[in-house]
Parts: sequence; structure tokens; C-alpha cells
Amino acid sequence: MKSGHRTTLSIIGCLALGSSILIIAAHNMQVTHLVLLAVGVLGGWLRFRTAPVGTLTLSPIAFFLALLIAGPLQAFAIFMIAKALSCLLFERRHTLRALLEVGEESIPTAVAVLMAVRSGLGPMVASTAVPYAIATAAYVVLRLAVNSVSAYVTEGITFRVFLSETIMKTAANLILLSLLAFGLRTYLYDRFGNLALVLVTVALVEFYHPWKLLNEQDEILFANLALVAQAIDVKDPYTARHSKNVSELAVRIARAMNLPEAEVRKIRIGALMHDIGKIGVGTHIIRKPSRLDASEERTMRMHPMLSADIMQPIELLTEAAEIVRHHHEHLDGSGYPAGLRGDEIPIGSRVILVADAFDAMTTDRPYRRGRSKEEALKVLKENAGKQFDFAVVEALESILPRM
Amino acid sequence: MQPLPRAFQAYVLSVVILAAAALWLLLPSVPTRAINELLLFLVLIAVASMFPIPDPRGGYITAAGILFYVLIALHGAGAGLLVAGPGYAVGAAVSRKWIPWRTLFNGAQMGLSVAAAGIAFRLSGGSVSTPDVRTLLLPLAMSVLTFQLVNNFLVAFYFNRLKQIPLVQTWFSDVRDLLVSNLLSIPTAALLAILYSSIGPSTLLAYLVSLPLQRRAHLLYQQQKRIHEQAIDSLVLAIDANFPQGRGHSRRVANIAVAIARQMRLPEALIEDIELGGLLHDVGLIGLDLPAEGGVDGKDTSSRFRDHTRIGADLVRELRRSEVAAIVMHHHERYDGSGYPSGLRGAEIPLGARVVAVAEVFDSMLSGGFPHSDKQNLSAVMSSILRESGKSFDPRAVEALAQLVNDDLLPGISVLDRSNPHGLQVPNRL
Repeated sequence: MKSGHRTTLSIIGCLALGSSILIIAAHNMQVTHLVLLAVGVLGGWLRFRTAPVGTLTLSPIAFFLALLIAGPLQAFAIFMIAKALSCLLFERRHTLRALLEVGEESIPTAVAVLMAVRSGLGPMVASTAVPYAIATAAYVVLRLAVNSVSAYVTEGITFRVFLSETIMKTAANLILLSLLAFGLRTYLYDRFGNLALVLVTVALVEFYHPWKLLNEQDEILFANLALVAQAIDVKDPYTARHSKNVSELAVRIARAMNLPEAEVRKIRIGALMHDIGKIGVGTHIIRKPSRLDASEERTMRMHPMLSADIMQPIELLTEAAEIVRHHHEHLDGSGYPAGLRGDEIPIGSRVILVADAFDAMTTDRPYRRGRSKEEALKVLKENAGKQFDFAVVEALESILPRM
Repeated sequence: MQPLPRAFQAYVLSVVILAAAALWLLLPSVPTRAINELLLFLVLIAVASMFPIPDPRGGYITAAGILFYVLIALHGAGAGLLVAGPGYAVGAAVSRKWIPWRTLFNGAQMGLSVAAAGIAFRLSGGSVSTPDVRTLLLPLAMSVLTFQLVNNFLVAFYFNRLKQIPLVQTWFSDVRDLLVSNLLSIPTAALLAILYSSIGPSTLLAYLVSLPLQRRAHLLYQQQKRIHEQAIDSLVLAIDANFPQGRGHSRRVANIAVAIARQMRLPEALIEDIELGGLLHDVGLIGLDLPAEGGVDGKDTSSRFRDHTRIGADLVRELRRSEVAAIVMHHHERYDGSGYPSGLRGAEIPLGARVVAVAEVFDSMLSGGFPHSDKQNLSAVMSSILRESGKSFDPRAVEALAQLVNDDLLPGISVLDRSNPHGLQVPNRL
């Protein structure tokens, strides 16, 4: 399903880029078109992710401006090419990935262009307001729809979560940009020409830039935490990516369970840090292929508490410390360190336990091959209700086909 | 508080007198008809200067800078001197502390800098009436450059007189660190000037309304950045306890390396990389469990120990800051090429790694960490490091360290002190 979605979008992206090049070839290029292209590329530099999915970017302003200045068809071509260029230049994407993004963008753009042509928006029409409004409204609605489908297919984010977490920011950004483009066209472009386009775009970039920085800060944080986690994982070469894998899986499970975004964040941090307490456990224990003896077992069982103790005093990690402390509790109370049972165990801990177990079972070891996903799921299901939470295992089962 | 140096007082007074003389000369060119607009600018500049935001790269960011350029583009150098100086001095005095010398100096130096920028704008043929690249953008670029040169010179001289901080070096490194971000404010300034002249002064107010939003983003960014840094710091500290070097080594190395880099006047971006590199230089050791595996002298352990640079660099590569990974990778290289893992020599070794190498050995010897099993006193440490200058270490880094030790500047470097080493506010873009 996921790969089919990707292939379809990439093919659409190819078509969109191809037709864009044809459009450009068929019409005379003017300096203004190049300026609009530059606006689109620069706007694409300013782009940041919003949790849980989706991106905010300035680049649609190039499309809106081009609709008003260059005409609908040219607007389509300029926007598609700008999108492809900024993907390749700034996001360091593979060509395929860029095609995919172009494909995703081309659907709302094409519909908006059709609406614009149908409602009579031309470059020289005096009363552009109504056709423009129709075209941009079509763009905004379809853009959100495409986003929401992609979020569901690739990340398993349900429409409900998308509606509550993402839609407002994306819509507000697009509406603001469309209004700005209209104002710019009406008040500044006629008098000052291309200079006004460039100046406004750069000023907008300046204005959005702090927010981009703010957003990147979050990515840097997770990269830093992952770094520390992986430094611990090095103790056992066979689990070099364990913490990262568990974190990614736990987040997917949490999203599939419709947990609130704040809880998802806690789980993401907690899952990354869950083994940090193993810093105090010797590698001879961690790497031991045979069964641990009693004292080794005791040492090993300390690690959830050690992890939580390391996290507790750190402001940013305090919240997640609790779910790390209990990530080896079992539903029937047979786990450690506190022997909690059922709902006493924080939901985040129950999610991490399942993700941890699933990753451990499916990883190859020097003394045994990892199980297949299906086998691992079977083991989890057999122990659901005793060790694992039913709801969590069910959520994992629902996302497995998409992995 | 000790009395201010004579030379300092004389300098401040002469800047003030210079500003007064310039005002006398330029006064006839001030457009007195536009007195209401000038008053508006005065108020706006004062308000904008009241809300400086500490810039992570040093200095402060305020929106006043953009207003300066709009002001000179519209009303010329004389108006710039008359309005920007007092406006800035009042704003800075209200938001920070009222220190008569500083306020007087701030007003005079800012007035002079803005006036110089105005003259540069005029000389390069600037005008707002028919704006294009040649008549507006290039002249604005000239005035930004002039502003930066004059402003940073006056400020560098101020600290030279006050604290004997080297003048030319400070001047150049300040210009280098601040010029790009100031040049970036040109488009916004140009746009505001165009809007102002074609629509009216009300557009300036509209711009100011957006400022609190930007300010919020900046403050949030800074706050988050600090919290994140603390988190990483604490994690590294917790993990440090298991390193052979013992608790706090990584943080101390980062601090010392940053101090050395500042002393060498390296660019702020590199200093940030050096701090991270210092903090993470031994991250590859975490998984090695050296002490638990029978000491650090065994042959096997020694080669495993050497691996920590490569393992660490692999881990750090995840951060996508190639300079930091290079620091971690090469912090055991020696200047003469006898180090590991690659046996690089001299300038082949990344500059950041050369700085961290000195800081690491300095801290290990001083605090008695691995492989220097017993603590040594400062002078013994310094003499062995000086002996190795040019052999193990980059002579420039050693010289900077020696200077720091000489001036007793090392102990005071706190964990998160990223403020401008000179602590004066250099107006900048927002």
C-alpha cells in the first residue's frame, strides 16, 4: 500500500514535471517568470516540519503570485519546477523523493489551475478577485486532503489526529500567503515590478526564519538524544540501532492508538532513552549469549531504574522518566521494578515494552537468527493479557502491513 | 567599583565631542519640515532598542538596525545622527541599566555610525524615488558596510580603553561575525523604505506590530536551545562518570576548548562546533567498558581504546555537522603527524580538532584523568604543554591557552556563557 502510494505519486510527479517543461517551451519565458521561479525556490528553502506530519513552507506564494501575474498554465509550470529544484537543492533528497513531492504537490496545483481557467482568471483580467479566491480555495482544500491521505498511508496517522494537530497551521499559512500574494500584486507589483517580488519574498523569509530555527531545534534535540542512546547501544554490536528502532516503532504504535501528541512525544523520548541505564552494566553481561546467573540478572534488572534516575533531574526528560522506569512491568504484575499491574502501568511504558520486545525478537543474534515479523507478532499475541497490553499489540498488528 | 581609566574617559568624551561637531555640520541638511516623521522614528527606535534579544552568536539582536537604514534612506545622514543616537541611547538605557558613561557613549557612537551610513548612502547615489537595484539596494549595502565598520570600530576602541582588549582583532572579528546578518536585513529595510515613501509612515507601524511575534519566536528558540543543551550536558555528565577520565571531563574540555577558540578569535560558527566536539569527543568510549576489561595498559585494550575516535565519529555523524564529526575523529592527531587514527600533520588536522586536543590534554593532566594518573599543578601542566608546542600541539592553540592561563581567564568560564565576550550590545538585525 505504502510503496504503491509512492510509485503512483512519483509517476504523477514525472508527468507534472514533463508537462511543465512543455508549457515553458511553448510559451515565451520572461524575466518575471524567472523571478517567480526564484521566489518559489527561495520559499522552498524556508520549510519546516510540523508535528506529527506535514510541512509549512513559503513556496506556495510563488504559485499564488504566478497565478495573478503569469497566468494559470505558467503558474503550474513555474511552481512544479521550483518545487523540484528546492527539493533537490535544500532537502538533499534523492531524485525519486523529489519526484514524489512534486507529484504530491501537482494534484492540488493542477486542480487549482483548472478552477482558475474555468472561472476566467487570466493575466490581464481586471476583476481577478473572485476567480483567484476560487482557485486558491481549491488549492488549500486539496492540499490538506492530499496531506492527510499521505499521513495516513505513510505514518498511520488517522484523519482525527491530522484534523486536530496539523490542519489549522497548514491552512492558516496557506491562506495568509494567498492574501499576501494578492496584496503584493495589487499594491506593489504594478509600481515597482520584479524588485517588489524579490524584496517581499526575502522579507518573508526573514520573518519566518526564527520559526524555522525553532523547529529545527527539535530535530537537533532528537538527533542528540539518539546519539547518546546509540553510544550506549555500541556496547552490543548486534543492537547498534536498537534504541532508534524501538523509538520509531513505539511512535508508530502510539499514533495508531490515537494517543495525544504530547504523549507520543514522551514515548519517543522514553523509547530512545530506555536503555541509557545500561551504561552501568558491564559489556560481559550485556553480550553474554547464555542465560544470566542470579547476580547478573539482578544487575540487568536495575537498568530501568538507572535510566529513569539519569533522566529524572533533566528538565526536558523528567516527564518521560516515569515511563522508562516502568518499561519492564508486565500486565499481570510479574514485571519489575515495581510489579505494577494493568492500568497502573503508564500507557507509554506498555507501548515501549511491546516495541522493545518486537525489535529484540526480530534482530539477528550471533547464536540465533531473528524471528520473522509474523512469528514475533504471534509470540506477542500469545502473551497479550499476561505480559503485554492487548490494545498495544493490536495497534502493532494494524501497522505491520505498512512497514 | 574602581575609577574608570583616564584614557577611557578621554575616549568617550572625544566621541561625544565628535558626534556634536558632526551634528553641527549636518544640522542644515535635516529636513525640518518632516519633524513629525522624525519624532515617529525617534519613538520607534527607542522602543525597538528597548527589546534586545541576546543573539546566540554573541551580541544582541534588535529591530532598531532596520529602522536606521530606513531612516537614512528617507531623510539623510543629518536626521540619522539627530534621531538614531538619542533614540538608541534612551532605549538601551531603559532596557538595561542606567550607566551615565555608557548611555552617553552609546548615543554618540550610534549617532556617528548611522550618520556615516547615511553619507555612504548618499555618496553611492541612493534614492527611494525610483527604487531599483542600483539606486536602492547597492547604496543600502554600502551603508550597511559603513555602519558595521564604524560601529564596531568605536565599540572595539571603547573596550580597548576600558579593558585593554586588543583593538584590531576585536574589530575585525566583530565585523566578520555580524556583517552577514546585517546585510540580510537590507531587503527588509528597502521594502520598508519603499512602502513608507509610496504608501505612508503607517506602514512602519504595521511592521512594528509584527515584531512581538518575531521576538517571541527568537526567545522561544533561545529558551529551547538552552534547555536542549542542558539536557545533552546532563546526559553526557551522567555518562562521564563511567569514563576513565571521570566526572565532568567532557564538559571541562568543551569549556576550555571554547575559551581557547575565543582567544584565537575563530568564527562563532566554528566555536559552536568546537564546543559540541569537545563535549562529545569521547562519546565513542561509552560502549567500550575499558576499566572493567582489565585496565588500560593491555595491548588489546589499547587498540580498542584507539578505536574510540572512529566509533565516536561514526556516532556523531548522525548530527549532520561534519565539522563536529571531524573533531571527534581527529582529536588524537598530533601536530607532527605521530597521532592517530590517520596520522595527519599540521594544517591537515581540522582546526577544531587541534583546539580540542590541547584542551583535552590540559584537562586530563590537571585533573589527573586517564592516561595521566596523578594530578599535576598548573605550572607543571603548562610547562609540559609548552614543551609539546609544535610537536604534539598547534602552536597557535598553545599560545592562546598560555595567554588564558596567564590572564587567569579560565576558571570563570561558565557552562552556558555564550554571551559576547565584550558584553556590549552591538545592534543587529532582527
